[in-house]
Amino acid sequence: MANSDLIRMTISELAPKIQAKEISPVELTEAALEQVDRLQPVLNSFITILHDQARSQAREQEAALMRGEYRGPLHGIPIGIKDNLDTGGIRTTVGSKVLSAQVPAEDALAVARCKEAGAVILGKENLEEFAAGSTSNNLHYGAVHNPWDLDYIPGGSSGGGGANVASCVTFASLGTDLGGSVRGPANFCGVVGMKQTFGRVSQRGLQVTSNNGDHIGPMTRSVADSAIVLQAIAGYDPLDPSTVPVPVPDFSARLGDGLAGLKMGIPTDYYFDFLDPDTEAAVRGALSALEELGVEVREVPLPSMKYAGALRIAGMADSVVTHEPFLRENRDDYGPTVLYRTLAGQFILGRDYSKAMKVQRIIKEEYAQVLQEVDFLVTPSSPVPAWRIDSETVNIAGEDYPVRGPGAGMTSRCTSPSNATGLPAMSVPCGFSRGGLPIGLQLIGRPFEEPLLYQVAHAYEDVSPSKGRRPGVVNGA
Amino acid sequence: MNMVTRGYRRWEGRGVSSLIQDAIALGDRPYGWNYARGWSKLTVRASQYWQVKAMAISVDTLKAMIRDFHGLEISDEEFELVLPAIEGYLAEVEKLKDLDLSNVLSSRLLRAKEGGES
Repeated sequence: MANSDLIRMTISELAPKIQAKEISPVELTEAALEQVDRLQPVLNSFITILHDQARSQAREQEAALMRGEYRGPLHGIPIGIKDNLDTGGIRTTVGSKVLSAQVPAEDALAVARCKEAGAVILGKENLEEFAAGSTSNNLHYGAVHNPWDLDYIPGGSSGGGGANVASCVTFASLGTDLGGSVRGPANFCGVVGMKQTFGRVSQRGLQVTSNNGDHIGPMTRSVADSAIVLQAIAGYDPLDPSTVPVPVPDFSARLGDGLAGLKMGIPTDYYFDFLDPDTEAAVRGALSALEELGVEVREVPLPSMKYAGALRIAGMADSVVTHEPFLRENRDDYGPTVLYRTLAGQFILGRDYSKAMKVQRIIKEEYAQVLQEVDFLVTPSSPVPAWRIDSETVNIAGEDYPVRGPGAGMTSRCTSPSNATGLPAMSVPCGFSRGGLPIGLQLIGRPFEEPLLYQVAHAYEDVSPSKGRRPGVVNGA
Repeated sequence: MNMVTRGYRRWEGRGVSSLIQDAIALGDRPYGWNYARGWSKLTVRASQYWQVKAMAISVDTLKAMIRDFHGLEISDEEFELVLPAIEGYLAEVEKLKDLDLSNVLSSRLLRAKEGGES
């Protein structure tokens, strides 16, 4: 099979062929590395590329296969890792100058679990500095480019992963999501992004996080592939107290099940308040498609979302605590966006932090109540499609908002609430803007009900206008 | 110096810190930012976004907090860039002033039994 055909396949298409020894992990990895080398100068999606290690891992996986030791659907699959996740013996910069020479001793648990499942690591992917922002225009390592239009952002902070998955460089990427950093790039790059329930996946080895609602999650080209990757990384970790000791279900179990009888909630508050017209049209089209698939529609109120801005208060305070050691020793190495936003966090009063945590409780209770009436919620993944890399503002519903620094939260306003509630949420491609940029649909579910979200997303994926579409850069256009 | 009366436009394009000057040097890269210009615009727009109203807190108070609570030092020039985020924080707090939170539980971890399958 030609390399150009190999790289366009999905994990669920490749896995049976690898198991049957029809496709070799070595030839697959060589095909992926060829795509890496061709597109890195175009996308700038990696900070570190691991040619030698990837080839070595591929040979090991091939040898294991020949010994009859098939490790599951990730066996021999080349993937990317966001550069804020520890990789033993491999530089992990967190997109910063501060940690540009950091080499962790061990893999993050999620990375280790992917490797145990047979995945081949192609490299460490570019991101926003300290994973704090939605552009992936990194001061230190350069801007990541959106494969659908190279003048546009891929979203952030896991922008390298989103760009790589969309352009068939990696078959999956592990990102991290503290306010939408998996779902945002998935939205902007036209791929599937899953932020599972808080506590489902260990955060051990996730660097420089506030530990307040961060999640390691998969970005993939299909819903089925997302379920495969989540299966590999999910599970209780006794060394991470944020993980919850619940059994891990079969995330693929409901793929292919019909949607008749399910109830979806359309929030009447917050999520649809500020939307780009193309985004609204695509999302409304997706709602109609879900209805045609047999889903019952109900409008649901979320009135407490008017206080959602308070959720940022705790994040600001947490951030200054996280960065304090680096700020005292390496302050001159910070870019301005992170530096000045973080410094402001030291003025948060304890009273206001407490209020923010109580607002978070109110909002969580409200979602829990609504999700007793419906099975899942549907919203846009972002108010707008991607904006130009050189833009300082983005226009949303007639108003200009900054894309970085204070006020930039508008760009992630649809994704960040699920980090506070901890509810599982995923972005699925649902069409394109008139400018040809991807638009995403967000599904939000009950705690630990990822299989239901996958069921819905998989059924929708088959009728989505995005089905089968790949950016022109995949094959050199 | 009061944050309300100061007005952000007076520093547009001027008075930037050495860090910002360094960033400007990178501004000729394709897709690099012009930080000084960018931040001045962002600051103005952020203030409009939050519709900042009267606030009692002053930079002198903030400096005293840093001094007395052993906080992270901020120069006068840097304060210009930090203040929008502080204003955003104060604006969000202002929205909560009529919300009675006295009997609300605090929040962080989900319980598995809150719903869903396991």
